[in-house]
Amino acid sequence: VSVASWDTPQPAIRNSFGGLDFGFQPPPAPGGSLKVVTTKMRPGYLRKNGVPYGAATELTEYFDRFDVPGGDSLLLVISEVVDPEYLNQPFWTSSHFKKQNDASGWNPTPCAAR
Amino acid sequence: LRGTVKKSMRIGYAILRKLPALALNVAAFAQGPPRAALDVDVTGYWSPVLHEDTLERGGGPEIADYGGFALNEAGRLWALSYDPSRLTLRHHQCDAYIMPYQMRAVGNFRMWEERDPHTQQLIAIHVWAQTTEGHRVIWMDGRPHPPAWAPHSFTGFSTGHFVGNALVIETTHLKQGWLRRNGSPESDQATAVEFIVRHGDHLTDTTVVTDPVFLTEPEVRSNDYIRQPGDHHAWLYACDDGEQITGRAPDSVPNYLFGKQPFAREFSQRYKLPLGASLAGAASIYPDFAAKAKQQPESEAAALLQPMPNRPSESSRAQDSEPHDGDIHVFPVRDNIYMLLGDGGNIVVQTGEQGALVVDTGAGALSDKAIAAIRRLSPRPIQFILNTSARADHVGGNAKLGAAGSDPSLPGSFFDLQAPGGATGHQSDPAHNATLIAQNNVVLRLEAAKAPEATIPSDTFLEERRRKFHNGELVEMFHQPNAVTDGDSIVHFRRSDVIVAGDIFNTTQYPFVDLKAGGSVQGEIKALNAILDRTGYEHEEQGGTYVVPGHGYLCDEHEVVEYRDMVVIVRDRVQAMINAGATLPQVQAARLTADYDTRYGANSGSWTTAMFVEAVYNSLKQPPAKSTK
Repeated sequence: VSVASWDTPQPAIRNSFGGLDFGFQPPPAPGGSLKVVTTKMRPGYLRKNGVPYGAATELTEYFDRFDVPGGDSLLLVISEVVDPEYLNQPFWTSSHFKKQNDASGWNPTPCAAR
Repeated sequence: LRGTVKKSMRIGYAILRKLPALALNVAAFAQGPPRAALDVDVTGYWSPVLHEDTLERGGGPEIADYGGFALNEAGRLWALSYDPSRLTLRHHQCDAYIMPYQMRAVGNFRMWEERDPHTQQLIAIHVWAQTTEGHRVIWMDGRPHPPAWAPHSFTGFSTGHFVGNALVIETTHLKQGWLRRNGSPESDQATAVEFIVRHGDHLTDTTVVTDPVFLTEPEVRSNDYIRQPGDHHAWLYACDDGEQITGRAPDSVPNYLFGKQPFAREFSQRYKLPLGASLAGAASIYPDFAAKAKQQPESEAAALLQPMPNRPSESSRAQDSEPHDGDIHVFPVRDNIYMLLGDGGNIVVQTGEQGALVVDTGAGALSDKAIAAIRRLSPRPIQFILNTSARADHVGGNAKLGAAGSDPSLPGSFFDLQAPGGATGHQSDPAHNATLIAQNNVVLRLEAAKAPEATIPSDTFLEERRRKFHNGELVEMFHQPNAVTDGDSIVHFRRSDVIVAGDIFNTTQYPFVDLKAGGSVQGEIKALNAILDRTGYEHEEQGGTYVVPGHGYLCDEHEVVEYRDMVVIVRDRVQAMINAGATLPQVQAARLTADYDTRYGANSGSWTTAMFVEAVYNSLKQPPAKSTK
């Protein structure tokens, strides 16, 4: 089950006095990453060499898109895996994807047991 | 195959199609009004997170594993020729990491802000990296990047701004180095854009490197860091070079000849991959490559281990680091030393109480502007002009700059009275001419070319060194026999610690080894080593002694080392073919400079790649009498 939200930084503490706000002001427009929190996953592996994750794992992902010189568009996906069963600290990875103009060169086939 | 392309770049168009809202996010180079930005706080103590790149960032990549890297032919061949033993050379032992690798290296970071004490505006963000003591300054005050002729550094020149929730950094003026420790190169022409985002105590730096010399498309990597609560307390990385291998010849640079890298197949064989999977460059980034690699014949993949023969050489893709706008540009070097660019070869001016001392005078097309620029730097006239060679773009302004100066040490002197024509011989009125100094062969070459008398130096020397204490420092000329010509000298300003290399060293082309004028590749290598014998770095193989090239941007010893390596490696390749009985056409067809042509090559103009290779070949076939190793 995945739940998405904009990850806009919020003040750690808000101090107001006489209508004045002395605390941290987040940006007025959406300026954060797309944050996706996923729970209730089936157990599986984090790496193909068998490093596991358990049923209680919580996956938090942050999606950011960057336009770079030359016209490419990149998608950065940062993942934090918290697993109380098999990990003693969060497992972090970041992956990047390059936007393609179309689906040429990509021809996925369904998985079938042989 | 997936293992080879694991983090370099992955294709996610399906995800992107489903997430159009993400376009609202960071778009650093998009058109339109600026969006509200979060001035993300990146300060603090950071440790790298190695959860998925432990081998890459720890032990290092395997030899000849270039999968997922968009290396062009030059980049692939450069990497295959690279022998890590090169790091045993004195001048490579303390090489710092270039910025794109520094951000990926194992080691902690400390980041802090620099603010204007009066306005509290953010001036810069500093980054201190534990490994190689990499100190980056990311200027946040909107200042422009330096001109193309400014020095390069391992961390480069960075400017930043906030866009959306990211700190976006643009970096130029990088030194040559490697993107991976298996020799995958990055040239001094590379630029980088970074996007730094923070989520709680987690920081991610996505680095996009564009390199016209070695890459066909940008190289993208993301690195993760975790914030630490306090000081790591270990920030130094002391390095002094020393003798790691004694008795080695000074012209020895470890390298593999094309096709002779003994471990080139090790990676593909160990992981049972097609050889082409690790050598294919940009094609290996994309998913349809898996099927192509399986079908690629072994012979086709093996051909990638050597230059493709019998095809035209590539031309330089480097940025032109010399101005061509009809103006003279003045660049301060150090203390009272200045570099003047714009009129052919670089001109160097030392100013002081005794009057200006000028090294080389350019091509002569902009001499009036050069004189005006020197007058702005020095209220006193030009007293001495030193020539590093007889080449036209270094002596072309001799007559005008000489006439604009004067040598007040001569009128009325004992020597003047003894020589009615003037103590300098050629100038009949020394009080109204600067004294021109050069190695004697410069005079012989200019006289043979029937150059105007006012262009010909009148004060000459024959042996190794000419010295003069001027404006409070010792200025030494060292003759370099049979290098580019037979009259080359380097000039060393001892107190300022600036060396003027003349055409022995440049950043724009292969060395102009002019055999007809007495040049030789052996003498050129010896001359480059002579420069390195006199240089010293300030810190981690950069800074310290400045070296002004005959053409191109201001350097330190690192650029000279890389240039020396290049000349030695090309020499080794040509020598190997000569030893095998190859003729010049066979050497030319083998494209022995293929890994350097995108940086220095030319197929037209006054000095082409073919002319350089021919000069190397003929030097080795008939060595000049005076040159030695």
